[in-house]
Amino acid sequence: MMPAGKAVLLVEDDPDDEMLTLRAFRQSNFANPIVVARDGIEALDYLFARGQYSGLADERGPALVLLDLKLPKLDGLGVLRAIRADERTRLIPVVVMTSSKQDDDVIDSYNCGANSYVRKPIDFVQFVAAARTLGTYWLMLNETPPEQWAK
Amino acid sequence: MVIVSTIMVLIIGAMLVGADRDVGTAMRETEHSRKIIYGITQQRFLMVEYILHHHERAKVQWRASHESLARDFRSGIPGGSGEQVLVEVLRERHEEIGAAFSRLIENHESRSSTVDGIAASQELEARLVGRILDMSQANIDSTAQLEKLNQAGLDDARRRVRTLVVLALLFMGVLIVGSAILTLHHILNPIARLQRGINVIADGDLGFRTNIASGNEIGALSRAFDRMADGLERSRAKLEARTRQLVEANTELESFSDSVSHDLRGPLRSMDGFSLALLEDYASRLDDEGRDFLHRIRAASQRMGCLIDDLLGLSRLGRTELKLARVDLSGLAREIAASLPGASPGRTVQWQIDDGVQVRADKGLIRIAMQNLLDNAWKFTGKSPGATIRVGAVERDGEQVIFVADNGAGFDMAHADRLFGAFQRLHHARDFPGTGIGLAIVQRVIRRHNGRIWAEATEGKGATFFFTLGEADHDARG
Repeated sequence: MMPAGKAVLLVEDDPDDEMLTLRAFRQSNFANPIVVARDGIEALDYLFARGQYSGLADERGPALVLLDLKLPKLDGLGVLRAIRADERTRLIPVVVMTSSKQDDDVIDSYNCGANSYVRKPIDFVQFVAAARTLGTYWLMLNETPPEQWAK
Repeated sequence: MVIVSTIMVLIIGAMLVGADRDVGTAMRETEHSRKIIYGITQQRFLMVEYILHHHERAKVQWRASHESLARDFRSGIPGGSGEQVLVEVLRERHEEIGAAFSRLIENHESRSSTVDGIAASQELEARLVGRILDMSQANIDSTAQLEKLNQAGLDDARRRVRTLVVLALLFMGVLIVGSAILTLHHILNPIARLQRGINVIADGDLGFRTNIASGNEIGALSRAFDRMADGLERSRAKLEARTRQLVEANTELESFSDSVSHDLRGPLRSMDGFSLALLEDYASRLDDEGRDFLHRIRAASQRMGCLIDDLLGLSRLGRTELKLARVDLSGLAREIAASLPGASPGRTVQWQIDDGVQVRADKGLIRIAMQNLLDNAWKFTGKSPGATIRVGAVERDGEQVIFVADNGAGFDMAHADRLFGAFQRLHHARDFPGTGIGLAIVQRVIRRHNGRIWAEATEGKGATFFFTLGEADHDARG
């Protein structure tokens, strides 16, 4: 069991996908709490401590954002742009997790500053493997910049 | 033009005929004058002869000559008024000469033989002779004058003939130059313009019109040509509009299939994920059959995922831009063949790949096509002992034909027309698994290269797929 670290923000509107992703991460034994935002605006509210999250004084922000592209209100690319445009959030690793593997989506995501692009496999065994790999890499292997650089 | 020319030719012709007749008349009159001078001279000789010998014959001859001359004067062709007057004078003198000659004869026959009588007679005779000679000389002069007048008429007529001939030549020259200019203007120039129009339209610019308004056959032809160009332009506009609609529909269809494939994957993930969750978390509450059902649900979900991916791949084939280059098909086939045994170990297939088969194609697309063809050959020889797969090229009607032949399951040629349709399968999935899209993908790749693909097969004995790669000079989306 890993020590409980910073949160992972999962931005996902489909309840099934939410459940399956949570299950995959749980099976991968990561201790990081997972916060779920169900549309783009909610995701930004969490990241910038607004709206229902206004009481949240998490200045450190999440350790990782798992971002779907097709979202209500504000789509994934809009969320990504907002994250990269703000001093407080621009260095947070963002992994786009979606069903699409259209070239346009991949290119747009990287152009907007995605750190990684992963297509969700249909086979849940592969999905768990992908979640484990992502978690291992981004939450454990990858070194984030020191806190003062994020300001 | 033709009417004016005809009238001119007729006028010149008539004038020439008139001048020619005048020349003839003048020449005849000259002849006549000469005849008169000759007659007068003859008469003078006869008169001298008569005076010398007083022969009866001379007298008769003189009179005959006189009569003949009188006829000549009467038949004198009347010319201008000057000539008329001259002829009148000649006639009067001629009659006087006749009268004087009669008196001469009378004087001779009635003379007395007295000396005085002879002397008187001789004196009268001398006077009469002198008078006759004077008058005949005057007549010769007048006739000569008449001839001179005739000569003037003749010269005038000849001058007119000359002038008319020169005029006719000039007119013919003008006619020739004029008709040449008219031909150039009305026929050659329009033909040149028409020819230019044909070239311009052949080069694809349908906006060209000859606009030749002339009423001749060339004009009619040009107007027909313009009408044809109008028709062509209209039908091209229609075609372009339809092509635009098709492209729009195609784009819509592509984005539709993209979004459908995206949206279809979500539920499939749920089916697979929750089936697995059931198997993991609730396995103890399920019997074998229940677990089998869940396995089937998972297998079906994953198969459908493959179908969606293949379908998406097929729709994407039409969108990528064709990059043509020389491709070593032999090398490509060997590369694919080498990767295949790994997919199903324990199989041995004899590969016969001809050396040096080169094609001009998009490397990425032709790899997809070859991969599918060789996958198929590999798959359908799976149950054949001594499996052999051949890849090579033959020349047919001057065209390079690539073939992939196997001695596997083959198929019934009665169903050959369904072979290249998406999701069309000629075998049961449990015998030879697959989504049924492979050959549709191959066909689309070949069509994008403006090529053709066909197959020959015998059920149970094997199949051969043939394809050509056309010029691929323009990007045919298919």
